[in-house]
Amino acid sequence: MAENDRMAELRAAVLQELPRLDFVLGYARGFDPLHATPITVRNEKDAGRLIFDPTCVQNLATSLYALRGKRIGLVVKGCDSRSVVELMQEKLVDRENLVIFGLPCDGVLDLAKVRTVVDIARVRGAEFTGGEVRLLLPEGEKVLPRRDVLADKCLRCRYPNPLVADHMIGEKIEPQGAEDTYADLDGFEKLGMQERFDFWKRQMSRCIRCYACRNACPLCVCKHVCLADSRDPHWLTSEATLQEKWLFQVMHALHLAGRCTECGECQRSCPMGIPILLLKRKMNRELKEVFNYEAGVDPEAVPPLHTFQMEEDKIKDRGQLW
Amino acid sequence: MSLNPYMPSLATIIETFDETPDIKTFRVVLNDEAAMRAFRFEPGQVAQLSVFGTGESTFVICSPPTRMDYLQFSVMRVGELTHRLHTLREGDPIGLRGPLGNHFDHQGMKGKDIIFVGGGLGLAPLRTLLLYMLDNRADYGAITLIYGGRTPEHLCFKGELAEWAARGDMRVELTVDNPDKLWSHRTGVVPAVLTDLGVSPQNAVAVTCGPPIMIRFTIQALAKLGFTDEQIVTTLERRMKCGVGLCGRCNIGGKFVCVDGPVFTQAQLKELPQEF
Amino acid sequence: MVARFLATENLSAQAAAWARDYRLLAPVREGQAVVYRPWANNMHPFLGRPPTASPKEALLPQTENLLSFTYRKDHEDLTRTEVFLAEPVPSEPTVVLGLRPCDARGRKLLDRVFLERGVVDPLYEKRRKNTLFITVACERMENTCFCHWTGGGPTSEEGSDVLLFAVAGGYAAKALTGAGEKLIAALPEAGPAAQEELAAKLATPAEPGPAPDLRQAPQRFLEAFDDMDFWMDESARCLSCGVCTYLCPTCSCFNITDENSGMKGKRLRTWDTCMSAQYTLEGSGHNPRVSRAHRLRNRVGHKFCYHPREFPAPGGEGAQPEFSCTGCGRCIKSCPVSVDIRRIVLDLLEKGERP
Repeated sequence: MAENDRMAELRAAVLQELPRLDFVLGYARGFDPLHATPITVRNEKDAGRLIFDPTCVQNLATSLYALRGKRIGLVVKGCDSRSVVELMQEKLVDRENLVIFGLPCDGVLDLAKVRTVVDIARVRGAEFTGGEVRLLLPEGEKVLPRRDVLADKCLRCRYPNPLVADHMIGEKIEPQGAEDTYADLDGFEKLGMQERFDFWKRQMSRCIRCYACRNACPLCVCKHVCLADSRDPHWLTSEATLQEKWLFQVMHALHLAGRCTECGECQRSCPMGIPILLLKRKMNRELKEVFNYEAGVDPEAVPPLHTFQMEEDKIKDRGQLW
Repeated sequence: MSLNPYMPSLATIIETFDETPDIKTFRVVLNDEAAMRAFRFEPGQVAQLSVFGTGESTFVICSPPTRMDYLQFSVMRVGELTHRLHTLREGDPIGLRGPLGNHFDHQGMKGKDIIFVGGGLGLAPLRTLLLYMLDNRADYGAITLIYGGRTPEHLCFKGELAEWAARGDMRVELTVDNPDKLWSHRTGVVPAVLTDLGVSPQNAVAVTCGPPIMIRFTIQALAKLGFTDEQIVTTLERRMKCGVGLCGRCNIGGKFVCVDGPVFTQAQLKELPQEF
Repeated sequence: MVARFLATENLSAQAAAWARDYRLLAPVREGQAVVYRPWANNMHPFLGRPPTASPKEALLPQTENLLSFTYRKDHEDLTRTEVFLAEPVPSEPTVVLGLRPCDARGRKLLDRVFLERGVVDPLYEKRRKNTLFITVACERMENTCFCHWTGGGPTSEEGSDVLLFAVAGGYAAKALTGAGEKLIAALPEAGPAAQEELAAKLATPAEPGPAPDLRQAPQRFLEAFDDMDFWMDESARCLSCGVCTYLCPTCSCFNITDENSGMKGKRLRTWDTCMSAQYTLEGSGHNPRVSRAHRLRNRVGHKFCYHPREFPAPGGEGAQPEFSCTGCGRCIKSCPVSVDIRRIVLDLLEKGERP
């Protein structure tokens, strides 16, 4: 389906649903051809601004919990839809008040990768055709193979088609792979313990405690009443030290265990480029091994850490009950 | 190098007692006797009380500058600092930074009739001005206090209310929303009582403080009675930290409640961007 | 003052020399970020891109001790406890290398708050006197740069002690203050070729396009203050995190909290963000800025209305207002959802034009 037709179909679907909704959350062009920005669509003029292309990196499901009680529409990619499913599993979103516009997606840009090849601050235009990304710069056009600049999560994407949608807009896409081998974790785990610790000390020393990672996460529904900010109980001091920054990331990863759908927004939102997604992927690999569970895939599934079984297949309790 | 404006003076609690189930009064003296003798403030100014290890919060100095045996603060237990403060006893150390903020224009109120309208702990900022005026009685016209609370138990400064009512030189009208069997005064919300009494705006100033809802309806009632915006004075609350206009937190538009307030006339409030 | 020359191959050695007399903060590349690190041997300062964060950490650290306290029991009367207070330890002289003119201009806007508004902050005052800026002039402007909208420019001298201009083989260094002169006194004078290049650069700075007339911005902001629909739409994407405020060269709001260990503790000042939901949350539970719309409105208002009114620029009505913004664009490029404060200000101006 040609891109223009697809956008026309999306706009038509949005306008059709708008009368029953407070607004629709979708993507519009941001401050330059490589950035998109979320917008609220309330009327035809707003709908005219809707776009969908590899610059649409944000996960709009992050607003869902805060908007409960409202009737809204949401534009989702495959990975975003998993966040919606996980919120449904945890009964944190009311499906009846949500209209989902699902857009099968074949990948979004990782601007950090683009920046290694071009000066992204001077891009005048961007076109996404087939397997290429064509960037227009003052000195002329630069063509990049798509695979070189897609986000890592897209290169291993198994859910390109939204898992829930009231309107599916666009043709279904084949997944990139059948299984996640967690190759990135293997690479990291080849390092010794001290090296790994030094790695995280170096990375976390850049952290500015902005909590963009927390606020961008769709499953992090505590947001501003987060334990990280709590004075009673007092888990973290307000000091900008390595200890506090690291403790927050560990808390965050643990609180997301069995819930994180690896949308990667935490890592993408970090202004200092800290690879915090690794921590969540590590938790997810453990959960896959122990519980054979993947978050945000089956709306009926109960997350394993929200329940318990008397006997677990993969947890050896040495036969001692009580 | 300039003085450190964040450094509190050390002080000691010399007396503390309950006003209501969740309000306690603290009487505080600076440890440095010379500093205590030299301490100057105007009615309406506030101070930051520190419990070192817990934090600091802003409270109005509710005793008047004419009675300097101690500085009085009346504190409602609502959050971290006030909970901790409520556990302190006589003889415990405390920190004090002040006086901060602006004050009531008692100069400009000379010769006028003063109507105090208070609710709950809102009587605290009114008390400092009221006592100051009683200590300079001849400078002011008729003084009226209209004061109320949810129940008789929720009224502050109960002993003093009786004293003030017994004086011949001011009028006291008390009211509660929910009376008990022993209550012998009025029943009803403060703004309604104000309207019933029909106080005259002629050569008068109204000073009001209390829960936000009460202030809102009181100001409406005063306006209906003919009070102009310049004749209505109130105090604002905001989350505060530095108390000296540096941390940026307590702004309303371009004004800082800790420096340009907490005392504002209704006329001044109307000029601010309306974000209360 | 004659320009001096800092050869690229000499940069590390010169930085090491500065680091012997000062705490030197130099930018290095770490992944996709460019961060200031205290000088260490074998560091490779990276001056090719504006650092990810502003250098305000040198003047206003993210965490700073305001005072220390110790409780001690009175040995004569164990029911009594006394508390002892101590002033914070003073800071050390610092040089920041590799900031940009927009960052240096931010220093003046921080001075407004901490030195000129009323009470003087002695901690900031001391750091301010003790910190020198070696700024790199910008060759080109990024698509998020708008320094020229706010009265600055890619080669602005405001706020810097030394300004470095890239020339063949290194940098031409221009001292702008006495302290700056001392810093570069050991460098050789710039040769005629470098001087020529410098003159050419000063004559034709990067010009990114015309700046809109923002003189009506304060007024238009007040006119739009109560339009909550406008502010809700502008803030719909905001995550209420602290990226914009913490990276900004002029944002200075802070929190004060006590942290203990046993009988001792500290009262800390830490950066806070007006974008946080808890920023104005009162003990009673009331929050004057309960929504993102309220908070974004306050942020834009503070930068483009309240500050220019508190510190009117000389020249009266027609003058370029002094905004609490230097147009560095960090809030735009690092915002995870691409909030663009330029867009909001332009929308305010456009709104004002429509009756």
